[in-house]
Amino acid sequence: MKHRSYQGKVSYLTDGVGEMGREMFHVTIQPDGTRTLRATCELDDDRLLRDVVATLDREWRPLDAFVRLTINEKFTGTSWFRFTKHIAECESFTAKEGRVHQVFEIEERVAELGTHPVHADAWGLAQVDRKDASAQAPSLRFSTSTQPEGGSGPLLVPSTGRKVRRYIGAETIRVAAGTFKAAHFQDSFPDKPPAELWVTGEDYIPIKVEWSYRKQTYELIELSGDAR
Amino acid sequence: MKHRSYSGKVLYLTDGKGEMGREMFYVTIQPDGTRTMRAVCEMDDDRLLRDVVITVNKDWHPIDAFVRLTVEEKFMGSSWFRFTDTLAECQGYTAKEGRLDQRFETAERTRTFGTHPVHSDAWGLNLFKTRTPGAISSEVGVGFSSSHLPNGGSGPTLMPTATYITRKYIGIENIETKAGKFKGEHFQMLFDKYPPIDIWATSVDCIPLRLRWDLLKQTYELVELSGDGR
Repeated sequence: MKHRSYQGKVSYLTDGVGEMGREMFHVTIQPDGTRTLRATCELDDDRLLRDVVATLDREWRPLDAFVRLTINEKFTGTSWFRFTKHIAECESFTAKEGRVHQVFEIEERVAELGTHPVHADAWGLAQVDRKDASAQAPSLRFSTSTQPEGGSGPLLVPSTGRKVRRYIGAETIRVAAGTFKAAHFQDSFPDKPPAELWVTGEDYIPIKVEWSYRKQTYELIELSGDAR
Repeated sequence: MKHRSYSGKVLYLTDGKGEMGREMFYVTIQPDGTRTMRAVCEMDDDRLLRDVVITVNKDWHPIDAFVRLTVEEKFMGSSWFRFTDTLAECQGYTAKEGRLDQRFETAERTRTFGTHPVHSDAWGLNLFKTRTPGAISSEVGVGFSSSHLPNGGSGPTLMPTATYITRKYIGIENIETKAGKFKGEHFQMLFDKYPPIDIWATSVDCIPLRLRWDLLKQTYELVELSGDGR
């Protein structure tokens, strides 16, 4: 095999409570820069179980994805997403909406699909120009859910302009998985407090995320393999 | 969370060569018996990388699945599958076939969907109504596969299972692997054109302990297991 890979775990820590969720991830990167994230996310308070398999091109733009959701041990939805130069499409079956087929005609490639793992949030930061101190937004963005925890759909939800990002600077961050040189970013929203994100390396691996809106900190606790 | 889960790794061992592939899996089982398997399979000789996420109901019948394939570092296909009491559907995009929209009307819910991880093969243990030595699986319902190639390296599309695969139950045997010592339920998959596949799996969750197929000159062995696997 000519791809490299890394895997690990992020712990979801609620203020004053402790671990209230976790995210197991496994990433492969092909020689052409195409990368696939597999993430299984468990949110204990919402009793939400989410599977994501998302593949991006070497410019971190989505090619295809699969998202499956259960909430309170009940099926919520299973969906498949595909992106070309001309369309963004979703084939889905959800408990609420039934069988759904969505097609959006687009004039440029989609810059980001928000699938809601912390790892996917970190990958969205690859679109940010670190030399530009101003807030930046992806030109064309979709999300799989309208909810902050990703607990609806999964469907193709246009979300351009809902999130803007700013590069803060380089910092050293210590978490259970080790001490990392990290890049600090801030995500801002029109109706929620900002989230602080620290990622490391060319792979944009999430080291730590703080979001007061959900009173949670997300921390990398395990990392192995060829992460860069 | 009210589901239980287990995770682990199977090695693909080629005669005279050693490790030539591996399968990392993570399975969750909901209180109602619905189970989801995520498997990432790497086959070194074919340079094949396969992702599978498949969910089956409490009777082990498929509900939905996703399969993604790359071969020799090139995209082969990304496909989504859904099964109801009257329909088997595939929406996919493959390098060979382009955009796929397959729908098969079925007289009953699809019984089996072969997605090619070893873990998926081991789930076949549940097709036996009685686990008595010599028993032949009586499951003759609707079946599909995501590829007709032995290594699963085409599609992924919805392929009706052309010939019924007979399964023969052998019995319970002691199996020792790098993951530990187990009571393994031994059964065989019998084909018209190929030599049989011998499979040993755990009783409840049908976790693959060992699988041997002379056709590919490979033995598949469980080397890691953690969590609440039964």
